Amino acid sequence: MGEITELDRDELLADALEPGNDPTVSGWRGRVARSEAWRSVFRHPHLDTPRGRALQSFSNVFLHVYPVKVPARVLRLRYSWRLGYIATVLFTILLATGVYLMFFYTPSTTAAYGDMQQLRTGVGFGQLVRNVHRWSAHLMVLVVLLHLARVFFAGAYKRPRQFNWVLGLALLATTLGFSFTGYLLPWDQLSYWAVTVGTNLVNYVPIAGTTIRDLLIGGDQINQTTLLRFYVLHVAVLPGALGLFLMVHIWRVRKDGFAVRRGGVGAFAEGLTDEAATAMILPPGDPADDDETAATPGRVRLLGVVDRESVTAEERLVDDTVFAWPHLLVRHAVVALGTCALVLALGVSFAAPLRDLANPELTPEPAKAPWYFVGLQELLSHFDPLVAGIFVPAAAFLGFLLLPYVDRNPATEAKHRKVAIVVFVGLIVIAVVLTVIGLLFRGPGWQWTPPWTHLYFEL
Amino acid sequence: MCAAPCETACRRGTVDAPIAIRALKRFVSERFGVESFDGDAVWHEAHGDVPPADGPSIGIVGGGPGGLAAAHDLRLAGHPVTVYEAQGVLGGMMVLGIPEYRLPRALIEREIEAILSLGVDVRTNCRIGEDITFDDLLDRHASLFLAVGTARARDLDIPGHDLDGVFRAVEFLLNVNQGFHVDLGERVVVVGGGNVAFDAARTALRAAAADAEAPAPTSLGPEAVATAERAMTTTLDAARAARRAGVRDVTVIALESPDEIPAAAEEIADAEAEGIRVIYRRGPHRVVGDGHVTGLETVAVASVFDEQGRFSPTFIPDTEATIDADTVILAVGQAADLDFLPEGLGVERTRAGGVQVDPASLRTSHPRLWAGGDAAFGPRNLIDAISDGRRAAASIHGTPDPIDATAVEIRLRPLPGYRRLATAYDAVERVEIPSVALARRVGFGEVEVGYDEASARLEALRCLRCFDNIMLRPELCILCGLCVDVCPVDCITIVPADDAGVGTASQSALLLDEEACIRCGLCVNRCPPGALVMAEAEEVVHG
Repeated sequence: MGEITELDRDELLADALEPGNDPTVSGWRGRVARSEAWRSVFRHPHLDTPRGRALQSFSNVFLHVYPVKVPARVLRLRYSWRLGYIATVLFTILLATGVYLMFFYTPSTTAAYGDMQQLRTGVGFGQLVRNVHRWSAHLMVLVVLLHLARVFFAGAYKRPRQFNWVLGLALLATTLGFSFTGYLLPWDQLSYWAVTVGTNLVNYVPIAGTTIRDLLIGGDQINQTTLLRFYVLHVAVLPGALGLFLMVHIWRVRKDGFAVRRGGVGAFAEGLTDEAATAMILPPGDPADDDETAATPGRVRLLGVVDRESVTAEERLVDDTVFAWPHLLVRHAVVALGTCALVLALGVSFAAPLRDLANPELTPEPAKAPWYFVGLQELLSHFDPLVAGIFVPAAAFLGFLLLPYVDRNPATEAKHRKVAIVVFVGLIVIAVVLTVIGLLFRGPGWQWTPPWTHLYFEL
Repeated sequence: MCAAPCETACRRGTVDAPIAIRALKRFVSERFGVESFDGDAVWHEAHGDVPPADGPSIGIVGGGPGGLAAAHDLRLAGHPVTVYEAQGVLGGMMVLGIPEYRLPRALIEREIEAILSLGVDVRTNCRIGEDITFDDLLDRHASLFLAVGTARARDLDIPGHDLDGVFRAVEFLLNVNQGFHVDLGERVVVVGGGNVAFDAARTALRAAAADAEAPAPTSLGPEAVATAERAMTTTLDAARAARRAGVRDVTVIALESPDEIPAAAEEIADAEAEGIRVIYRRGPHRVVGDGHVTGLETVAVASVFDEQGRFSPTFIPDTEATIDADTVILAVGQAADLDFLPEGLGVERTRAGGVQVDPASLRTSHPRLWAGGDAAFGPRNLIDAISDGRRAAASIHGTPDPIDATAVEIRLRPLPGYRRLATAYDAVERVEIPSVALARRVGFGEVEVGYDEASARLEALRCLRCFDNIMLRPELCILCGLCVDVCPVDCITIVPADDAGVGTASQSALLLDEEACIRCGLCVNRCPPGALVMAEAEEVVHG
């Protein structure tokens, strides 16, 4: 309960006569708090009671993004590793740094490279901001992939969250699009040839391959049109798309409740419910008889019985809940600050690369795609381009897309979904091995070059 | 006076501490009740005009709380009422038994005055059987209500109980309260008797159970507990009265251990704070003295209750010890004095010596005779006596029982809007009731002082308004769960309806833990389709 000693007695009485008066402050602060102007902005007193906290979440747009209460287990770092949240934080950092960079950048083949050089020397914090932007971008791709893996292992893509998994894949695709379009903008040899390698893959798409590539880069090779298209995609189209997907994605996380309980069967598993929790809510027999046992809740009244029509409707067993403010928000603040600190440290320590001006006449050796596509590039060196460049990635993406609709096993525990986990882990191992080989073990002419002989590695 | 069972039931008690309902009622009563004004304008305003006394005449034997309450209700129902009181003053135990520091005399006088102003006829110093015969009463009145109380003290049959300086608590309190000087000496021992009341109640219960051929009850109802508490209160009253009369050394001996003693912990604490010594687990064995008391010999108690939980004290032999005393006060129970009832009348009696009545209508076996209060049920508290008086009045007049909760139906009426009267109602802690400092607790002034207006308002705004309840219109509910999310005290739950046993697998049930609900209305505010509404409980009295 609130500490009455801190509440002003006269103000409490005034509150009784004039509801809405804030009794928690007195003196000049109290006068401000009771002014019409203040109360038009902050409509609730800061009561240190459960109701006061619920009210605060309820009437504040920023807190309103969060649920009022979250299950206590959500607070544990192990619960989600905060990967989705970290990705969102990184996106915010990218927005902020990206807007700053836009002030000093011209999307023109003649000016872009000069602008990059100018960032290094002539713009306040230009180099640092660019470094942070670049490392945040790489980190975001990594974190989104880890988030996907975490959701898979938790089985959190299952009913009723199938579509949110699909949205998550859309967010992954958008993130890769961001990274790929952004890769070109410095207009140096690294960006020019990485994007050339990447866009050349599109040629292998059956029938419409060349048309799509032309549409994407605006010609048969990378030029001014490509730069402008990639720039517009990077600063306007993709942010809009990502914002939209992200909004729906987070909204659904809230609607569906927090991710599935590990070791238990979700409330939506047909015919199965958490019997222990239900037994706790409705003690057997007349609840009035059990008054003496403190463990059983007091008088429970049935408010009503409602037909379940919508899939989003979820059984809301009262879990061991805590208020999102401050418990979850404080943790989120710490994670956000930690993320900022990390990318700042990376930005201070490692400079984003800037090679020579892009030169279509001079192909550097080796020309590697961005790291997240290097696995595909490696695959291409072993198989027919149509298979390695088109069918394999398309099949993988489609497989992931359909996963929640194909995998009808309701269990979320690893021991009940061995096949799914073995297949997924197998895919990860293959992808990681291919990426590591392509990234570290390939030299000029895509020849086997161990990193201890010579390292051809660029981020 | 009042044990405030309402505060035990108060929903706020499950949140932090119950609303101080008793203190608030006192405040309202002091402000607007009989003690707040000299005339009787408001009193009559509340009642409307007193109807003419043209109904059948009613006689009430005993001018105590039960009798006066019945007189009040019956007069307002249009009966001519006569109250017969053996003592010189009205009020019964309120005036003669209960110490002034618990109940101010001026207040009682005002209350009695207000009742008399309705036009109630009073005969004081009129002892039935001496000043008027019972048959005369039956001739004079259409119906009679017996509320004579328990004025006769029970005796404790131990050696020396007839020595000078041995008093019975009731007589002692009666004398003190009437202002007579009682010579107590310097050391007083009070023999506590909470469990005698227990014993009487258990005897009655066992007799009832034997009649019904049912197993003997192993636990007692709340009434028996109240009875035992009342007896213990008398013990403590006697001790405190002795202390206030100037006796330095006052000792209470009790059979029970501190855990078993049938008295509220604060009562004991209050008595000890005033310098009264309580000795637990000792039983009276013999009053020592030669003509006049010189001490009380006690023995250690082995156990108070037997294996069935019945009162059956056993003592440890050879543990006799004597407490020096100039006065021994025995507070071991009271009984009704019903000698005036003619033998041939056929009025049934209880095992404890009271009048046998039907507990619902308070009718005796005689068609024109009702009885209530201590005379029927043995010593209980003041509130029970008043309640008996009102029930008897209703029964005599033939109207529904005003106390019976089953005659009242509660309906929920949806409210168009819901807004708390105060913003911070949940943050306010129980406002302490001011009481007189220990050093000033001398003489017969009251101990509790009561709220001033500011404190009363503050305390009152803590009310959770549990007469308001949320209601669900299931046809509108979309099961979004926002109510579950926003509820600050986690009192709303959504479970599969088939698991809760109230519906099918394709339905969900919304459950509300009413004891946890603080009626903040956030769920109602947040509910998108407006399926949740706040509803006000409305009393509908039948008959």
